[in-house]
Amino acid sequence: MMDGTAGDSPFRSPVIALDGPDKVTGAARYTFDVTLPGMVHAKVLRSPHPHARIVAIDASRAEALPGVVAVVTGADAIKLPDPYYGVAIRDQPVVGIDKVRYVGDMVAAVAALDEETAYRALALIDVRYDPLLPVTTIDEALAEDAPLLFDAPVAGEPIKLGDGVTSLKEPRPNVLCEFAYTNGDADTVLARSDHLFEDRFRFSRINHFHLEPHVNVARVTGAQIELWSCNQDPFVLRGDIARIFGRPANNIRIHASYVGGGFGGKSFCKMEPLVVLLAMKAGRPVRLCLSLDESLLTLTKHAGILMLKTGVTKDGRLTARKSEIQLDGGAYSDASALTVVKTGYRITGPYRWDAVATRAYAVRTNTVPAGSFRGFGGTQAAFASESQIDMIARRLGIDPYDFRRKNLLAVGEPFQPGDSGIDSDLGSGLDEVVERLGYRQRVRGPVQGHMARGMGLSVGIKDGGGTGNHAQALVKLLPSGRAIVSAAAVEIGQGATTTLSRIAAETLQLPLDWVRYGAIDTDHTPLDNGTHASCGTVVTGIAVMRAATDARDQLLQFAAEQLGCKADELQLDNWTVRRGNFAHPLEPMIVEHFGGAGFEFIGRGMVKVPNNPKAPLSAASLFWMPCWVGAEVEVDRETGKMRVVHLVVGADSGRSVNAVACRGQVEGAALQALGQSLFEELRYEGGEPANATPLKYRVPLAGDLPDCYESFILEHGGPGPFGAKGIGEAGMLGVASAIANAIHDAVGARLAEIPFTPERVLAAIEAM
Amino acid sequence: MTSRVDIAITVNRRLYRLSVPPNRVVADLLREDLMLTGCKIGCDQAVCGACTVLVDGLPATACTTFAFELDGTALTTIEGLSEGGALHPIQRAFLEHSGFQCGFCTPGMILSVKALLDHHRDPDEMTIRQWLGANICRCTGYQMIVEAVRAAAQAMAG
Amino acid sequence: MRAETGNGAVFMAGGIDLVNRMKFGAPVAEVIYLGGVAGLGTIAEMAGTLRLGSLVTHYQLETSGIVRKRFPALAESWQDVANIRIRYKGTIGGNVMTADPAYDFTLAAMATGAELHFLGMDGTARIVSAIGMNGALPDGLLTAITLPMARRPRLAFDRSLRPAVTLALGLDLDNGKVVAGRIAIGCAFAVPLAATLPLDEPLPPREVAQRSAILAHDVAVSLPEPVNNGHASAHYRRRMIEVLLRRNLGALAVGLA
Repeated sequence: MMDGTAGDSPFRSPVIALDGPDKVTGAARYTFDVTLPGMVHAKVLRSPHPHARIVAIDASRAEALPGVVAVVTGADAIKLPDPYYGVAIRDQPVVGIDKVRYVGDMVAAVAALDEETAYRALALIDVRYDPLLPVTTIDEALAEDAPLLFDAPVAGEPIKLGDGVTSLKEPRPNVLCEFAYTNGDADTVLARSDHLFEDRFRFSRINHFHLEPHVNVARVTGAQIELWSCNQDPFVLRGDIARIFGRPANNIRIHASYVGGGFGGKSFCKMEPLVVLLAMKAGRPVRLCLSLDESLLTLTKHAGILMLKTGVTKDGRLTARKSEIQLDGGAYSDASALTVVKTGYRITGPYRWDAVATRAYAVRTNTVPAGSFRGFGGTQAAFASESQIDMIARRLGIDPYDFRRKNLLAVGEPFQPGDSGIDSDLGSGLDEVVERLGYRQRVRGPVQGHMARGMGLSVGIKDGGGTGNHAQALVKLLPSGRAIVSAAAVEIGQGATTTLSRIAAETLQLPLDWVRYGAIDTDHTPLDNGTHASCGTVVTGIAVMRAATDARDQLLQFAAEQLGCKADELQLDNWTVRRGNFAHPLEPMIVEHFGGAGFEFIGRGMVKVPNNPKAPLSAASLFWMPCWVGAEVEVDRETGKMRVVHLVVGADSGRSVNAVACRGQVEGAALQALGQSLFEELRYEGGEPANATPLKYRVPLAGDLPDCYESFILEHGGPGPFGAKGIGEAGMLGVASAIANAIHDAVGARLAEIPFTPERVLAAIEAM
Repeated sequence: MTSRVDIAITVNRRLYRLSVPPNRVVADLLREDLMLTGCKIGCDQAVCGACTVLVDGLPATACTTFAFELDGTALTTIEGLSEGGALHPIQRAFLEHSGFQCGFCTPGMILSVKALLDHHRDPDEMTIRQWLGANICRCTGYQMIVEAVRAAAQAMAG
Repeated sequence: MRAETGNGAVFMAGGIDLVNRMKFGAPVAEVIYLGGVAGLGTIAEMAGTLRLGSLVTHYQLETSGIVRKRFPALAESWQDVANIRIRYKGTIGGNVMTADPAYDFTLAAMATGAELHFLGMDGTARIVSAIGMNGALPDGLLTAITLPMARRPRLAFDRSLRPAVTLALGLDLDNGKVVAGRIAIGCAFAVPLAATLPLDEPLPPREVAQRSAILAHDVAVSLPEPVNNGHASAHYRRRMIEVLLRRNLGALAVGLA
């Protein structure tokens, strides 16, 4: 579905976010704020070793400490029906069982009457370790005779995909999984290409750094397990808890509140099973709130090495790309299996190819597990791809803009055979960047003194909405016309509350402030597949729209019966039905007919994106998320210090349901990417994390804003309600490569590794 | 060591006389003793500024301040910013200009902005960016917060 | 009082570093809160020096009329230290006593040729020159830092390459000539490091400016091996010390000419 222009949109007027008043007054409640009567406090003992066997744990001194209610170790976990979790491949234990596999790995946990006692108790747990040799880099892990993180195959299955794909579980020592995709015969096409370029890129490891740390409260009473969780995917979590504890899912109840930042760090199973286990043993509700230091040791974004072999004709037409991608998956699976697929699939960028061959795999290392992070492999892929595109253009003496225009996929062209066509005018977004950046009039090269300036472009892209995704929703209409939208897209700051409410309000022709986004409780809220993949607006949105439509249809049917006419003679507007020239308010009609407490019209909606085994990912991609970036940098050629002077980031919202939220998502994501490009990194020294604490882990501050920072949103239409698309991840994708391209423009040197520290920039300049 | 310290703190214009352990941290005092849960604890190390409160009008991190240090001072939390139920112009500006997303940093951010506008009636962009260096926001990318601050400054001046 | 309570007690000024250390498990049984102690938080001109009480906050330093008059570059540079709420609470004494090579005040003390005044456990006063400290902090309570004003030291601060290298530079003038120069380097070594400008004789500022490259080079090669860490290599640090010193020496000297 493609609309070239914005056209009519019911959403032009700006609205105030429905969760806004709570958030600016301090009334907003997060899982962080949940307290229950009798609740005790938990702390986690973490491994000081990057790799070691757990020989023995003696918790008797801790258990004897006054105020300690329970201690949990692997001895408790091993009794569970299935003590492991992970996406597709389940290798992470509820708490350390036989080994610890990274500094920070959970070894034991204590619940006590207060946090201080819990901390003291940790020091009284005696753990005897047998340290093993660690592998802390991809190269070390893949070396012959490298120590193995896992001595035997773990539970799970490789992810099943579609045409052209091979998906393997644990194909080689210290390799978690592998994704391979071929279209055509890349080797032959490359061999006959006029030029062949082989380049290598290194991507760094960062952390989500959501300000609300991971926090969970669990209560187990009899058969029921109840969790108040910061998790972004309540129903996925419910399924995991059911499996791990061997309990029916309808006896597991998950409550979600506002989440203080997620970015993927709170997706999928984390330490929730541990909290449940503690609550069982304690016989009381247990709260485990990690410190931000601990959250830094819980999940990261995949670092990696991407090797791209790209063929091109002498006049600048791309022919084939053969890629080998090594992602550092850290110690446990988490969401690596999925990330590997997506990084591998997206490495071809928004371009047309005659042939593609990609191999991407996750390597196991004794470092913090890597998992989903906004962009989900698309950021890594775009850094490598959009850097190389620029390098190739310059090598051929073609302007990077012209080179891209020549090769960009056109609207309707499938991303890969069997997949959906591109639904965004990629060239127009690039033109918008060029215009705003002043690319054509740019000053490049040395300016004054030691300074040099340059500009770089980038077009990142990822598939959006998940793969074969689904969602369900309910909309309840109260007698007064007030509505409650019940869906499980968690509010993580992306604006789901307002966007989904607005979709319902528009469908029902109600004022926005008559709609409330209901509390998420897996007992009452319909199932959602998870708040990730930028799927809330489109997938959950369609379910909400259908639920609202269903509620409306029921309402009109009721009104028709009351008025003795047909439903299609009636128009709904502001909780009144109009029949010809007559207006009939609904509330009195409902109250009169039902009496008592009145009646609620409950509409149901669901959506499932169809599977398609011919599509490489086993379902056609629902929509495409381009990220158009332009950067202007100033480089000090004597120190290597680089400053981003101007950054332009654009994305396609399809049709904005809440334009200001779209802007916030793009700018927020792009600044995260900027930080990673310039300085943000979780560094390791051997097996030790060097800066896993807020004082040393630098994230962007307001002072890091480029002199001029601007964003734009294009509206090229999408499959979501009223033409919407998801946009939450888009802003991440093209930033690092645009900056690398700008540096190249300024000083002629290429940085193929992020972050672009002054030392690295200087080294690149001097290497020329 | 003294087992308890007697302090008198005015919080949101109300005087409290309290007897607290010497190592009672202000963030816990606010959240657990006074039920003012708008003060969120992020890093717990005076880095992120999420727990920012105003002590005699100056921004301070509640997570690294002992209660005994506040004897005789006036403390403002996010709950105390609106008077008589009406939103403060800064809160209104944050709503109208979407200066928040997940909201976890927002109470501390708004109080930090209050201190800024008390000291600089019409700060320029650079001044705002520097002042906001005391508050980490992971969601917004800051530009929209800066715009909210400028709008608040205008509203408060007019 | 500290002598009475013994070694378990710790002084607390602004408290920021102290509370963090406690949260990370430092065993602190007793805290001696200095906030109420009179005289530790004042700024005054005394006997040809600028006396800064150890409890003077960064914000006071930044905004003090006396500091702005006597050491304008110090006051101006201090606007960029940490952030506003840390400047309100953090003290220059706490900054020095934490002994973090990335922290700023020791560098300023070195560049100005300041002296640190300590009160020993036995009640005796000790004075230590900032330059001579070399990371070893005497025992006792830091009560004040005095900055000499006789030679009207002119200062420059450069934090542009933090966390690889930061620099503070102080030049003393007498009769219109540069008679001494003190260099303080942060972030590049395990402790804040002081060095002196190798001047054989007093030089007119113009000549100092002309010779800034040679002077910077001579200083840089004389330094011990800088730290190698995740932020920067030793090699890069040494080179940048030279670059920053050359640039700042040149600019400062030109401004004095």
